[in-house]
Amino acid sequence: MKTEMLAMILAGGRGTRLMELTEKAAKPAVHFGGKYRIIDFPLSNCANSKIKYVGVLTQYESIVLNSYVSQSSFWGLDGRDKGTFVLNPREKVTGFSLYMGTADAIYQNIDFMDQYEPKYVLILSGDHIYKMDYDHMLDFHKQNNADLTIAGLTVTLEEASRFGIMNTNKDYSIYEFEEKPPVPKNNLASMGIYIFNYDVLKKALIEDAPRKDSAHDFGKNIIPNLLNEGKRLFAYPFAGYWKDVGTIDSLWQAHMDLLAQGDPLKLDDDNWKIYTEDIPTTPQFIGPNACLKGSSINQGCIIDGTVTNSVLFRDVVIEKGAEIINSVIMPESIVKKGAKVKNCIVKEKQLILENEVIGSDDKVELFTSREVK
Amino acid sequence: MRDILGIVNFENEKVRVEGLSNFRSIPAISFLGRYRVVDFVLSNMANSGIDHMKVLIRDKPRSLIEHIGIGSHYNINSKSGSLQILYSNRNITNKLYFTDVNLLNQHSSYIKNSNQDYVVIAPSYMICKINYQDVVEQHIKTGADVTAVYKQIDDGHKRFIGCEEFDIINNRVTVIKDSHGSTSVKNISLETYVMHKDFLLDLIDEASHQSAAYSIASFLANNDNIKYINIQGYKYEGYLACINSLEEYYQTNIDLINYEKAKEIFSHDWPVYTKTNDSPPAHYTQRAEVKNCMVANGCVVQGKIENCILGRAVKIKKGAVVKNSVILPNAIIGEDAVVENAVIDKGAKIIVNKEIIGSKEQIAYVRRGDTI
Repeated sequence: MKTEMLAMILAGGRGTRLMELTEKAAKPAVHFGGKYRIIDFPLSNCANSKIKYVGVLTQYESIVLNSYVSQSSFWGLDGRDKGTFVLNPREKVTGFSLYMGTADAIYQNIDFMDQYEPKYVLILSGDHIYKMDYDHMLDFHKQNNADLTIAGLTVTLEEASRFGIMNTNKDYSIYEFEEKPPVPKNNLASMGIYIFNYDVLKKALIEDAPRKDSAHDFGKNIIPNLLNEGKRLFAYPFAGYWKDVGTIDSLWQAHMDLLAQGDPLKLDDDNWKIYTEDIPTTPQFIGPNACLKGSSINQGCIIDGTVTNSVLFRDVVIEKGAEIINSVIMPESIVKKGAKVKNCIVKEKQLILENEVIGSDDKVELFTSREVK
Repeated sequence: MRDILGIVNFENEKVRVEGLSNFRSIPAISFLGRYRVVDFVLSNMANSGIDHMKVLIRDKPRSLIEHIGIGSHYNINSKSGSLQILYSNRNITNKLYFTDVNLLNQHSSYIKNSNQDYVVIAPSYMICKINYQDVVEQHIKTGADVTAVYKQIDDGHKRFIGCEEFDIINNRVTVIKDSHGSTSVKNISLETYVMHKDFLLDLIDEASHQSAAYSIASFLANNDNIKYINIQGYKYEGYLACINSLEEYYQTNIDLINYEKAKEIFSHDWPVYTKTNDSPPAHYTQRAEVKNCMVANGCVVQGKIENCILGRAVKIKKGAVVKNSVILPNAIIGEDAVVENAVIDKGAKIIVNKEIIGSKEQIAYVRRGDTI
């Protein structure tokens, strides 16, 4: 069971700003890109980076996510020396406690991590969209003889105050880490992707746990503490598409990016596939009255209407004369004849009635109000 | 629900999809974009609650084995179920003697030792949606030796040529003969048989003693045998197509682009399983024009397609016009190329400006991996 680098994915957050989309499923389970769920990205990255064991920490509305993540074969993470493991908060001798912060969640699973005697632990967020080779990041970590390496993304200075910002020397060693600074000094943002030497991580978590004044958060507590202790922290610069789809607007925008930028995530790359659940469905039927422009459409869709600049998930039906513009339609939704959908995200299994018009020109709307019976 | 052993039979020597079957056996041929021919019979078995399947292979096994693997994508239980591939251990060079009887005889201990009492034998190239449990129930009720599935058709003068047809009196099959297209209304055999396991073992034993050239079908069709073997007909009413030539392969693909027609074999309560490969959704660019098509994932369409089937990861480049054609996975239709009434095999490349134009009578075919 010994492994060099164990991955732990933080997937417990609700994603409140995704509104009704996360009513019954946590944010990492939200549908993305016409066929995936958000957590497919970090899980596929793990599989492609040849990581063998992946713990997934879940908490908020976890039925969908737990049953999904436990199917390790979806990502090729099944096998004798591999696996995905669902880590829900659990009752212990000391009592029951929810995960009270990112660091607390990992702290509560030290016993899980100990089983694998890892030299390094990779901590990831379950709700970001990107492709990354964590093995390259580990090489960087080893070359620098680092205690902690944090993946960093260059953002605009305006955006910088929404992130943990890393102030670094020329060799990417970090001398200061500021969580959401009002006046950022730099624009290298933490992506919430950490490689820790396990001994350093374990010690830091055990020391942090009893502190009453701690939020038990990596960005606010663990990282600044390690810096103060003089540990070797490095930023691993990342270049590529990365998106935190935390709001309806950003989820919609990420889908429009997919269409407009010509596959910025390289979903078509056979050497770094994003794996997902394989749901048996029918082929995709395009009817005699269809008109498709600038759109991505998944298996099982039956389309006889007009679809422009939109992403359609599995088993969506667009009837004759219906018009879909700049929208995202999630699995098994039905748009009846003559209906018009513009600038919308339609949740899964929704019914848009004949000639119904939803959405507007100037803002993105979420449609969740009528389930298919 | 009864525990049934499913056997997928290989094609007889009359079945040949010109061009395509030079590279793989019929069951492994790409069909309707995202499927292989064999997916339909295996899904019928899986949906009928069959958890033990054997697939008989005559030649060119690579492509088929690669596709069906251990069968987990057909919903076979990974512990209690099994999918076994049966191939010949003897070097049979004469096709005449390479029959299903011969092959089953070589592996008869595997049939004998199976826990199932009843066996269904079905070929891959009869595309249909059938619940084998119903056939077995009728078989038990009638006390037949063999129950043979048929469909009464009315277009026999142009379809199902080379298949077998039945004469039926009081539900008993009295004559089995080749269908030549002389009449329209006839009972076409689905070459699907249900029998008790012991009856099958006796049949292959006796058939191989009588003649080394017997297949199950030809043994049953023999005038002397059919007199004493009680073969009852099971009337199938659903969709049926037979992929036994390039023309039928092409026409079946094109027919099923029509969603109303396709609904007869595709429904959410009777899924057709296949092996998938995690390709992204199909993408249509701003210049795409698409009417009446069935498109698999991984495709990128920049040109115009009409009445087409696109296999996985097909690329239709800018300005290309593709009509009434079946494009197999990974093929590329280059810029401004024109393709009509054609079957373009896997991975073929049609270069810039090239025209490939066939007709309904003479389908154009471009070989696997060719660049034209």
